Amino acid sequence: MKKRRFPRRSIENVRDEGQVTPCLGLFLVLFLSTLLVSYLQMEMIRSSSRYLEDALAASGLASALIDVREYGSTHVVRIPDGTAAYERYCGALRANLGLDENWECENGKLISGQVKLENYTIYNVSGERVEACRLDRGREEWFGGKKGEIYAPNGQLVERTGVYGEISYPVKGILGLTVTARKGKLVDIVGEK
Amino acid sequence: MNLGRGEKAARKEALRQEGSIGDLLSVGLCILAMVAVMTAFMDCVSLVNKKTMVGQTARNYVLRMETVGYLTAEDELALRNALAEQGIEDVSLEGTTREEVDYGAEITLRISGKIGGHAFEEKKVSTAKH
Repeated sequence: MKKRRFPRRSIENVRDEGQVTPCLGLFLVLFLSTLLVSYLQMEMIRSSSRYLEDALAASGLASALIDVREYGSTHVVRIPDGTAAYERYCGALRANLGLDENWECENGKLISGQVKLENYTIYNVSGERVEACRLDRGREEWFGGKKGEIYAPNGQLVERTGVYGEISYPVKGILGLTVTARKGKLVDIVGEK
Repeated sequence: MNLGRGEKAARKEALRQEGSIGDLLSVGLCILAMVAVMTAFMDCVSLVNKKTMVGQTARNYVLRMETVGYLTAEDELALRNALAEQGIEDVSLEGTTREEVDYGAEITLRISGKIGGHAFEEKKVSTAKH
C-alpha cells in the first residue's frame, strides 16, 4: 500500500498578527476592575463598621438612664432598672440601624440579614465594687467583683458605670460570600465634676 | 542615488505594517475602559465617604441634643451649614425633636437630603439627659 503524504503546513501562516495586545489590554482592565471592586468592598465594610459603632454607642447612651435622685444625694452613678434599660436599648438600636420588626436592615447594603443582640450587660460601679447584670430576653444573670478585676467581653476594663452591647450581623463580601461579623461597644457614664 | 516616484511609493508601501490601526484602536479602547472604571470607582468611594461624614456629624449633634433635650435653633443652623459644607443638597430635618423634652424621653435627629444626586436618610435616636 502506498503511504499517503500530507503537505507540511507552516505555523507562521496560521498565526494572526496583533492578537496579544487586545488580550493583554482586556486582562489589565479585568484585573484593575477586580482590584477596585475589592477596594470598594473594603471601604464599604470599613464604613459599615464605623456606622455600627456609632449606632452601638448612641443606643448604649440612650439606654443608660441613671437614678437622678441617688446621684443628687450621693453622687453615685447607677442604672437602677435593668429591664427598662434593655428595652430602651433594643428600641434605640433598631431605630439607629434602620431595622424592621424582624431586626433586618431595610436596604440590605451594609447589613445583609438579621441582626442579633448577643450581649447586653449593665455595669454599676460604686466605690471599689462592680456589680454587673447581663440581660437576655427577660433573663437576668448577676455577677460582680472588685474594681479593676472586671472586664467587658471586648477586653475593656470596667472602671465606671456603663453599658456594654454586642451584636452579630451578616455581611455580604466579594463573590457573594456571606460572613458573620460581631461588634461590641462599652459606653461609660461620667457624672459632672 | 536617485529613485523614481513610482519606486519611492513602492518602498513606502513596503515599510507600512499591517494591523497598526487595529492595535492602536484596541489600546485606546482599553485605556478608555480603564478610565471609565476608575471614574466609577472614585465616584462610589466619594459617596461612601460623604455618607460616613454625615453619620459623624449626626452623632455630634445628637450628643448635643442629649444635653439640652432638643435641637436648638443655633444648633440647627450650625448643622445645616456643616452639611452644606460637606456638599449635601436639599437638607431636611423633618421629624427631628425641636421642643424640649423631659429627662429620659426619646429624642430623634432625622437628616434627609441628597448626596451627589442620590437621596439618603440618617436617623439617630437617643434619650434626653439634661
